[in-house]
Amino acid sequence: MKVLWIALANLRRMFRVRTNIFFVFVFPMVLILILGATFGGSASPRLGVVTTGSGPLGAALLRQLEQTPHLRVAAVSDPAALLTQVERGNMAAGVVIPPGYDGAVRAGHTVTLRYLARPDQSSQRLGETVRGAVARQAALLGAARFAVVQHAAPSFSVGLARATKISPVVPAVSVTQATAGTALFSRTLGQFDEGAWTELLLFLSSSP
Amino acid sequence: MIAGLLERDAGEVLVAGEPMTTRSVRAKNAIGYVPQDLAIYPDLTGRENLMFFARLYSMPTPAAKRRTDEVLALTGLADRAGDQTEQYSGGMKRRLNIGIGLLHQPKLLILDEPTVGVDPQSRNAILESVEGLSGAGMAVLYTTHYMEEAERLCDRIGIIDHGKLIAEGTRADLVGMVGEGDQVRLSAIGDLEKAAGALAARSWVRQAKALDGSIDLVVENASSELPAILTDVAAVGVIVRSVEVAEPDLEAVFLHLTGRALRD
Amino acid sequence: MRAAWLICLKDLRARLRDRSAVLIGVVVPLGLAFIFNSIFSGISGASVINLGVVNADHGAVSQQFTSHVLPAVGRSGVIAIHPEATVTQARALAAKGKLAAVIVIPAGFSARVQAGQPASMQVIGNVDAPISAEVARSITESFAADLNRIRLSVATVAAGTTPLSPAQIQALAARAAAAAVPVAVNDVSAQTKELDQKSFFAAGMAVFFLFFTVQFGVTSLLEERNDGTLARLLAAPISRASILGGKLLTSFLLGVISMTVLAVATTLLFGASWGNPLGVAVLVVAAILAATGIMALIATLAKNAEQAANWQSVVAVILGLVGGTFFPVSQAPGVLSRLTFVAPQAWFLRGLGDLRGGSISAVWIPALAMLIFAVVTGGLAMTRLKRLAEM
Repeated sequence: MKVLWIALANLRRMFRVRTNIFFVFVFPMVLILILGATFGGSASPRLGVVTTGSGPLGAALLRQLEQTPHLRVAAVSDPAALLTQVERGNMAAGVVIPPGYDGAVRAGHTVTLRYLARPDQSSQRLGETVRGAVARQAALLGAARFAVVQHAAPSFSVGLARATKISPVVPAVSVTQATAGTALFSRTLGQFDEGAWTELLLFLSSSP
Repeated sequence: MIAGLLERDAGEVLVAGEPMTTRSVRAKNAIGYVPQDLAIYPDLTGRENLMFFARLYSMPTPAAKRRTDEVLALTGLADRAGDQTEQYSGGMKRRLNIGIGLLHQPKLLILDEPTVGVDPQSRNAILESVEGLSGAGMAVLYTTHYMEEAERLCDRIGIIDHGKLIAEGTRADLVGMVGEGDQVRLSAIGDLEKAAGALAARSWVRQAKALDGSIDLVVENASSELPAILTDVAAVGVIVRSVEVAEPDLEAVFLHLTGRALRD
Repeated sequence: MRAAWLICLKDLRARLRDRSAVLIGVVVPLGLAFIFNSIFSGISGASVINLGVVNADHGAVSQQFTSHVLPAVGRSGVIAIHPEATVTQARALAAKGKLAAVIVIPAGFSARVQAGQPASMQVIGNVDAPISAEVARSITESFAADLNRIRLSVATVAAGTTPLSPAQIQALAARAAAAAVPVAVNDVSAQTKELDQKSFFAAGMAVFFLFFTVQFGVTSLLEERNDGTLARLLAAPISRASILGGKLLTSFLLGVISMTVLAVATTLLFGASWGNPLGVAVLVVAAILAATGIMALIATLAKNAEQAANWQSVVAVILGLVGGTFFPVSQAPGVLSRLTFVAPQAWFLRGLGDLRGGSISAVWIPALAMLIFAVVTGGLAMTRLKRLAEM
C-alpha cells in the first residue's frame, strides 16, 4: 500500500515539471504523427507533369497518367521548377510534355517526351511505369494517325474518335496479374500502426 | 559596491585611490573578494581554480604558479591540489575560497561572513589567519553577525542596520555611545545597604544598588576603579566573596542604537 | 578579450572532463547515425528487381519480347532477368521472395497474336513486393500496348471501310507495324540535389545534437550565478563583455569541435559524403551561430540552469523533428514541407543537398537564412544577458 503512495507522490512531482509532460506524452505523439504522415499510407511516388501548351492531347495523356495505379500525379506549370523539385527529392520524377504536342502528333510527327529522373533505382523504375502509360496513349494515337494515312478517316480527330470507340471491342493483348506468397504484414494495418508500436517500445525503454 | 558588484546610487567609492564602479578594472585589481557562498569551481582541481583566477587577475604565468603554490601551502591544501574541489571537505573548500582572495596580494581583502556554519576549530583558524594578515599590513573588510569576532578582530567597527550605516568608530567609541558604564556585581556578606550608600557617594559611581546577597554597581571604568571599590567596601566592614565585571558589549550598543537585539 | 578566452578555456576544460559534452557532441550522434543507417538501408534500399521469365511459347512475337524488349530494360539496370523453365518453379520462387515477379508467356501466344485473336501474358508478383510487381506489369503492358497499337490501327482503318480480306488485313498489319510510334520517352538525367541516405543520417544527427552541444555555454552562466562563482568573475578586473563573450565563445567552440569530429568520423567510418569542404564549412559555421543564438535566448528566459536545460531540450527536439533531421520531410504533405523552414536544421540540410548537386554558390542562401536566425536570436539574448550578468 505504501508503495502506491510513494508512486503517487513521485508521479505528482514528475508532472509538476512541465517539460516532463512534453517528453512523456507530446513528443512521442508528434513523432508518430510525423512518421506516419511521411512514411505510412500509400507509398506512391509523386510524379510531376508539365502540360503547358500541349493542347487537348496533352491533357488526355495527363489523364492517362493520373489513372495509372500506384502513382500520384501533380501538375506543374514550369519545367525548370519541375527539375528543381525532382532534384531536391520533392518529386520522384517528372514528365515534360512539350508545347505543341497536340499539333505535332496530329501532323504525324513523333514527339519525344522528356522524363526527368535522378540517377537512382527508384527513378528508373518509375520510368517503366510512365512508359507503360504513354504506350497505352500511343496505341490510340498511332491508330488514328494510321487511319488518316491510309485514307480511312478524313481527319485525325475522326480517326481518334473511332479508335477510342472501338478500342474496347478489339481483341487485345492483355496482361493478367496474380500474387504469390503470404504477406509479412496484415493488410488491415493502418497508416500509423507500424510507427506506433515501435515508438511505444522506444519510449517505454527510455522513460526513466 | 566596494567590490564593484553593485553600482552605487550616489557618492563615490575610492579603493587605493582609484574610483570603484562595476566597470573599473584598476580598482578591482586592488581587492581580494571572498564571498559568503563558496565560490569555487567544483569540476576543476584546487590548483586549476587558483591558476584560473590568478590569470584572470593578469598575473603572468610564472608569478601565477609561484603564488598558487604559496597559497596552497598557506591554506594547507598542497597535497590535495590535484583533486577536483568537489571532493574537498567543507573546511577545505572554505580555505580555498579564502585562498583565492589572497592570490594577487590585494591591498584590501573583503571577507563576507566567512565563519557562518563553520566548526569551532576551523573558525578559530580563520580568525587567526585574518589577524595575521591584518597584522602584516593588509587592510581587511570583515562582515559578520558574530559580535565576538568583531570585538576580537576589528580596529574599527561599523554597524549597518537596514542598509544604513548607523554607527562607526573604534570599539571604545561605540561603547561610549551607549552612555552606561561598566557593571560590577559584588557578592558580599554584611551591611550591604551601607556599602552601597558609601559607594554611591563616589563621583565615578553612576549607580549603586544593594540586593539580596550582592551589590550591583554601574561605574565609569571598572578596571581602573575596582581597587577603590574593594577598599571602600572593606572600610564599611563588608566581606566580598566574588566580583563580576561586565563591560557593555556591542550587543548592548546595537540594542541601544536600534532598540532591537542583533539577532532579530 | 583575453579574459573571454580564459573563461572559455576554463569552461572547455570542465566540459570535456565532465564527459557529458563528449557524449552529446560525438558519441550519441555517431551511434544514432550508424543505427538509423543500418535500419533504413534495408527498407528503402532500391535494389535490382529479380525478374523471372517463363517463355512457354518460343514464337516470333515472344522472342521479340524476350530477346529485345526485356534485355533493353535490363541494360538500364532496373531488372535482372532470370529465365525459368516452368511456371510452377517460377511461382514457387516468387512465393519465397527469391524472385520479385515473374512474367509468363503461355504457349500459343505468338500464334494468337499473329491471328488477331485475344492473347494474354501473365505477371505473378511476390505479395510483399508490390512495387516490383508493378514495374514488371508496366514493362509487359508497354509491350502489349505496342502490339495493340497495330491491331487497333488495322481495326480503325477496317471500321471505316467495307470488310477486308485476310490478305488485306495482313498487309495493313505489316504497314501499321512499320509505322513510327507517335510518342517516345527520352530519359533526361536530373542532378541529385539530395543527400544520399548515409550522408543524410550523418548530417541530420550531427545538426540535431548540435543544438544540445551549444547549450553548455550560456547555461553555464546561469550555473555560475547559482553557484556563486559569477560573483567572483564580476569582482575580478575584467569587463562584463568578456564574461558574456567567454560563455558564447565556449558554445561556439564546442559546436565547432563536435561538428568537425562528426563530419570527419562519418566520412571515414561510414562513407558519408558531406560535399565540398569549403561549402560545408560555411554551412556548419552558420548553423553553429544559429544554434548558439537560439539556445542562448532560451537560457536567458529561464530562472535557473535546470529549467534552461529543460526548455532548451524541448525546443531542440521540436526544431529537429520539424526540420527533418530524423527523416526527410521533403516528401511529406504540403504544410509540413513548408513548416520545416522554421527550423535552421532544415536550411542546413537543404544547403548540403543543394551543394551536392551544384556549385558552392548553392550554400549562400541557406547560410544567410541561418545567419538571420543567429543575429535575431543572438541580439535578443545579448540584451537579456547583460541584465543577467548583473547581480
